[in-house]
Amino acid sequence: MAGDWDKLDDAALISALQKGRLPAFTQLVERHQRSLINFFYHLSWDRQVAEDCAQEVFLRLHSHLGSYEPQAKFTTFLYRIARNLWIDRMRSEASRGGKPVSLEAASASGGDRPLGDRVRGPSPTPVEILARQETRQALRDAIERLPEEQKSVLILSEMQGLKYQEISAILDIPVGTVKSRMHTAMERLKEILTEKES
Amino acid sequence: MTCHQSGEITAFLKGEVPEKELPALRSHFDSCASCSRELETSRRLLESLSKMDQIEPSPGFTGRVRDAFLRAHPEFQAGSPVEKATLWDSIRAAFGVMPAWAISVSVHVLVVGIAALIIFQSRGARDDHDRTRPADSAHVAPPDTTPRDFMAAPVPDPLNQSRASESWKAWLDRMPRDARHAPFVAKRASGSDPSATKALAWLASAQWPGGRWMAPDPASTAGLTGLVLLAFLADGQAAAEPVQKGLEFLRSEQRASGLVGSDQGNSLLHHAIATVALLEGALATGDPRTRAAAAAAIGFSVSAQNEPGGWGAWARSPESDTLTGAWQILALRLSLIQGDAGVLPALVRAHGRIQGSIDPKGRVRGSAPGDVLFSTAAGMLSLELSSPAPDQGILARQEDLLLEAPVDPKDLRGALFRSLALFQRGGDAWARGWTPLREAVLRAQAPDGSWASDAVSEVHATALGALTLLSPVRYPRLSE
Repeated sequence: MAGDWDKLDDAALISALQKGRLPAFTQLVERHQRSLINFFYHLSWDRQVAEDCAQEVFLRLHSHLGSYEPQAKFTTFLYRIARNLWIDRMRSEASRGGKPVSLEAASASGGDRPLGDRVRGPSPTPVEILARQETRQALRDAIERLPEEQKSVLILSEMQGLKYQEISAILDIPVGTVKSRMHTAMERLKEILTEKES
Repeated sequence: MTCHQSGEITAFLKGEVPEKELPALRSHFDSCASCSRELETSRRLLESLSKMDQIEPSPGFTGRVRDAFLRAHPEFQAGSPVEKATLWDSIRAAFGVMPAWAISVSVHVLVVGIAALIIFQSRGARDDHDRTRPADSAHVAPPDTTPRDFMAAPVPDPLNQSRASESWKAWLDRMPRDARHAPFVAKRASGSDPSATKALAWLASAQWPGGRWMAPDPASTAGLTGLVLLAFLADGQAAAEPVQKGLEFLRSEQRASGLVGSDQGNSLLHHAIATVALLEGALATGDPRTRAAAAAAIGFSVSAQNEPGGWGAWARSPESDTLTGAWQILALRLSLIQGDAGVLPALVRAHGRIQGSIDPKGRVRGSAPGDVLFSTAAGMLSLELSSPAPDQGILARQEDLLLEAPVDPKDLRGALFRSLALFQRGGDAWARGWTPLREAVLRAQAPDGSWASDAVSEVHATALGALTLLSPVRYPRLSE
C-alpha cells in the first residue's frame, strides 16, 4: 500500500527521499524495477544477474542523490548509475579472469572488408534468416557477440525504447556517436546472423 | 557495393533524422537499389529486436530491495505502511519544479477556480435533474464511474437468437438492393475536392519503394498502407501507380491464414483497414488477384471474431475494441454489397455486441476517458452498417452527442468517424454537422497539403484528413 505516493512524479519522490521518506524509495523501486531489470537482462541474459544488478542500482541511488538535478529526467539519471555499475562489474569480471571485456574495442571480428559486402552473397540474407523460428535465439547470440559499447546503445534504443538524445545523456557521448554506434551495431548483427547461417 | 547513404538507414527507420533532411533521403532511397534492400533488411531486424523477450520482476523483488536498503540505511524508519504523501509533495508533483512563490500564486488561483467549479457544477446538476425528471428513471444514465463494464459483451440469449434469424431474413431481402451500391464504390469521380487532391499528391510522394507507407511501428505498416490507399480510392484513382503498387504490397503481406500484415500489436485493426482497402481495390480495379486476397482477408476476419461478436487485438481475443470492430463491420458490409452472403452471421453478431456496448445516453466508452466521443462516432457508424434496421432511438441520441460536441481539428481520427456516421445518418444531422467539421479539418491542413498530429504520424494524419474531406463521396447512404 503506497498511499498517495504513486501520484507523485519522480522529482517529487526524489525530494521526499532526500527528506528521509522510505515510501518514496519504495515507489521509485516499484515504478522503475521492470525497465531496469530488463536493461540488465538484455546485457547478461541471466535473470539472477539482472535482478541483483537492478537491486544494486537502487541501493546506489541514495548515495548519488547529491548529483541529481531536478530538471534532468530521472530515468536518464537512473540509467547512468546502471551503466556505471555494469562497467564496474565487467571490469571486475575481467580482473578475475572471467569474460574478457574491452569497453572501447572496435568490431570484435570481421577484418577490413566493408560490412555491407559481407552480409550479401550466395548465403541466405538476414531477412530470410530472421523469418525462421530460431530467430530469437540467433538474435540473442548475435547481441551477445557485439562489442560492449555497441550493445549498450542497441539495448537502450531497441529494448528500452529510448531516443538517441536520452542515450547520449546516459552514456555521455554526442548524439552523432550514438547514431554511428547504432548503425555499426546493426551492420554487425546482420553480419553475425549471416555468418551463423552459412 | 555499399552506398555512402546507407549509414543513414537506421536513424531514418528510428525517426531520428531531422525533418528537413527527410525528402532528400526518401528520394535517394527510392532510386538506390542497394539502399532499398538495406532498408528492408534493417526494418525487419529492428522489428525482431523490438520483440525480444522482456521479463517480469520476480515476486517479492520490491520487498527484498526495500529490506536491503534499510539494512544499508538504518537511519530510514519504515514508517506507517499507509503513510501518505504530504500536501506539499502532491502540489510539487502537480507543478513540477516551479519556484515556491509561483506555486503559491497558482494554488490560490486553483482554489478559487475549484470553488467556482463546484458552485456551477451543482447548479448544472440541478438543471440536468430538472430536465430528466419527467422521463422514465430507467433512461437516466448510470454514474460515469463504472469502469468499462458496459464494454462487456452481451450474453447471447434465446430471444436474441430469434431476433438474429429475423435480422438475417431482413438482410437477405435487401441484398439485391445492396448490390446496387457496388458500382457507386467502384466508379467514384476523381478530383471532387481540391484540398483532398493536394493531400493525395503529398501522400504519393511519401510512398516507399515496394508500395508501402511506412508506420513508425513496423507492425502497423499494412494498416497505414490500407488507410492511405482508401484515400486514393475514395478519389477514384484506382488506376494510379501508387494504388497499384500499394495493393500489390498488401497482397504480398497476406499470410496463408488470410491475415494481412503483422501478427503483432493491434493486428486485427491493421488487418481490418487493409481488408477494406483490398475490398474497395477489388471493386474499383476488377483485378482477380486483389479480389482473391480480399476474399481470403474477409474469411480471416470472420474466423477472428470473438464469442460476443466483437474483435480485439488478435484473433478471437475476448476483449472487444470499438475501433477495430468499426473497421471490421465496414469490411463485412462491403463484402455483402459484393454479394457475399456468407458474412451475414458475423454481421448480425457484431450488431448484437455493438448494441450491447452502448449506454442509455448513446455513448460508447473507449479505452481512455477522452475517447468517448470518438468511440461513440465509431460505434454509431458500426450500428448503422451492421443492421438493415438499426435502432433509431439510439442513433438519435448519438447524433445529438456528436452535434453538440465541438470539433477538435487535431482529432482527425474522430473527424473521420464523425463524418462517416453523420453522412450515413443523413438529413438534418448531416446538414448541421458537415460544414463545421469540414471547415475545422481544412483549417488544420498545412500549405503543402499534409496534416500534422501529436497522436499519429504525418502520413497517418494526412490520410485521415483526406478521407474525412472525401466522406460525402465514399459510400452511398446504405439505408436508402
